[in-house]
Amino acid sequence: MSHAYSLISVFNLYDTDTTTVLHKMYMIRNPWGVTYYNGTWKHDDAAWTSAFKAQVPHSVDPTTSNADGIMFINAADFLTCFDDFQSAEYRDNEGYTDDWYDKINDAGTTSTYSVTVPAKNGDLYFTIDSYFQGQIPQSCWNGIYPIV
Amino acid sequence: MYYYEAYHRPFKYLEADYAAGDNFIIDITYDWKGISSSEHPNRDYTLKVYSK
Repeated sequence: MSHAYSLISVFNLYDTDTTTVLHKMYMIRNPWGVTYYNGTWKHDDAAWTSAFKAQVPHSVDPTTSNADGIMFINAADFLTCFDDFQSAEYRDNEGYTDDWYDKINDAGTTSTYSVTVPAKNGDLYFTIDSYFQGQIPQSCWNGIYPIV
Repeated sequence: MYYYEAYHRPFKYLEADYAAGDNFIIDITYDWKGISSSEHPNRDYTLKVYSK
């Protein structure tokens, strides 16, 4: 099993003329809230000039955001470091419909869910997800992990 | 069908393969495993059923 990161933003770093693209960048977050990235554009890379720092979106400071698991990587390195990426589209305004069934403190026995589809509304999807440590307040952890 | 959670890729039923009023029965059995203390979450999960 490998690890997955969140792709927060894709943006350009421009020259002082504000039109010439010097670097195509990816802002990525490790959901564990830590980063061990040690390549170009790491948090203490001298490449982060004040002019480039000012162009980072979402008011993120690339020289300190590693403490929250955020790292930056250029387009060429992105393609060599990751073998897969997926994008999602939030479609609430397009008739998106769903049902969620939360199971709390599952005992490991089989639970059966019955879902009746009210109408045809495009392709139908089913997912089942547990929650990893970066998604749960530490006070809620109980030291149990699923085999997947 | 076996669902492999790690990749978060859903089961997909094409619109042509179901009708309004169809009933789906989903059995879920998690094989939870206690490992070390500080790195692992609760025994909680969410089943989501959705279409566009």
